[in-house]
Amino acid sequence: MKLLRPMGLAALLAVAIAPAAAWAAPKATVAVDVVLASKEPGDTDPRLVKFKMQFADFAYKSFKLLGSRLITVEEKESARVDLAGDHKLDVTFSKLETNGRAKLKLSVPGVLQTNVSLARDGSVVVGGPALKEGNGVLFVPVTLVEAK
Amino acid sequence: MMDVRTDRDLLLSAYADDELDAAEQAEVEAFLASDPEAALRVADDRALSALLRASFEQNADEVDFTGFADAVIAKLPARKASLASRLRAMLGDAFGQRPFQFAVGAAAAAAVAVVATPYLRGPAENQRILLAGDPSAARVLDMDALGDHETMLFKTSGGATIIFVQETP
Amino acid sequence: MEIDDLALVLRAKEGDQRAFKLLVERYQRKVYAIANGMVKDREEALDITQEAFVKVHKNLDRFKGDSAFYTWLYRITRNLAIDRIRSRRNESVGFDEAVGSEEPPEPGFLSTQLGSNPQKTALRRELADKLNEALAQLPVKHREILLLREVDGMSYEDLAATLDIPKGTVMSRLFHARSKMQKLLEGYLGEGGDRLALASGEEEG
Repeated sequence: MKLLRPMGLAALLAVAIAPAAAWAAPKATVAVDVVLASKEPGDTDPRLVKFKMQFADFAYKSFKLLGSRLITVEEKESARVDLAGDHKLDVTFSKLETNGRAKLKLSVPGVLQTNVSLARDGSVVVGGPALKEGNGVLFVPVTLVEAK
Repeated sequence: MMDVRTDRDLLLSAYADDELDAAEQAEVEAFLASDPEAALRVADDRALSALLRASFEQNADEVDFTGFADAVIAKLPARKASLASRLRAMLGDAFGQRPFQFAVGAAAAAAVAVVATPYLRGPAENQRILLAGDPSAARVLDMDALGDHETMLFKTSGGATIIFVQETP
Repeated sequence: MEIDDLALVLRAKEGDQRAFKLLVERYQRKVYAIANGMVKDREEALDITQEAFVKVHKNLDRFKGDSAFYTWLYRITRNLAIDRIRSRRNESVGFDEAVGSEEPPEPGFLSTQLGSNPQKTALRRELADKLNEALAQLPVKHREILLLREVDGMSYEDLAATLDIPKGTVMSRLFHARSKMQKLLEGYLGEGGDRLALASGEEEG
């Protein structure tokens, strides 16, 4: 008589006794920062010193952190983040990929829609929307903190 | 089929305009020497040219063009500058000179290696600093501009990948 | 150093209005001279000149730089002028080549009128008017080539390129245009008329 393959049986057992959470939908934790960049000379928020380094090539002289949000989104779900002015960002956790990367859909309604694939700690920056008041431009780094 | 006389007339006319090559010039000068009427024709052509030039100059002189160019400019609709030039205006002269890699377009599918910004989890979110990190940690799969917007995807020499969006003027 | 036309065009394409203004200033007189030569009306010529530049600006994207900027500008001006002529009820555009089946002009007529120094001529009003009248009688093709030659100083080669005709046709067309002009002027100035309707620098008419 052939034995059941040990791995197969073990896997079945593991599933049988796995905590309920393993069957819950994957979740992504995403950090959304809202940075106001200005060509006027001024102070840059110390938290943004390295961010500013990324923009050394450009004409922006000062950066202000308007806000930071940490959001958790279930797979196939969306969350909305207010940026500044009338601008909003919708973050959809499209899919948890097999390599652990998260596929996210980022959407600024009426402006832009983009699909990105982020590994842990990966980020893209959405930039450009100007504020109606004052003369600054928004840059929104979106960072995947964790997806599982 | 042109007869010799007509050919000669054309040559004379071109001679009056100094448009003949050396060989043709010599040919014309040869029969000018023997044909006084031909010489008069050349003189007439040159006289007419001078008259016309003077007349046209005079016509133009009679107009005062002060402010004309401004009036033309005032009639022009605002010209839409290219996204690249508007970005240049917005982001500074460095744009376009540094080794940027970018893809322009409303629906550019650019798999650009993006610099990651590790999230440092400190005691408070306030500790979070944005840093350059692993370029393979982020990838833009596609992007679409909506409404009256244009997008541009680029990577700065500092390592950040930026999806830049602008209103089309 | 003067910025060449193409550099100005490229900047104008990017939205630089000052660059376009420089182009206008560079060519406004020439364009006007062409327009006026064609339509023989100062106000209309000014209108056409302005319209030509506005049209050029509107179509800047189409200019690829494979021909001279002025050639393109000229063509736009010319077409606008022809449209104006067409819209006048009385005047036909007269595209037909009026090839010389007519009697050629009396040789030496014009040159004797001008005396020995055709370069130093200031035109009296009457002669200028006669010239304009004669020009008006020419078919458009002849008027056009005379304008390009005498206003713009175009070589036969440039004329061929601008008008998109062979060099042989340039020669023939110029010849016939001049013959006709001379014949018409002979008729206007005539025997009993004011022969020396010209003043050189020294003479007072």
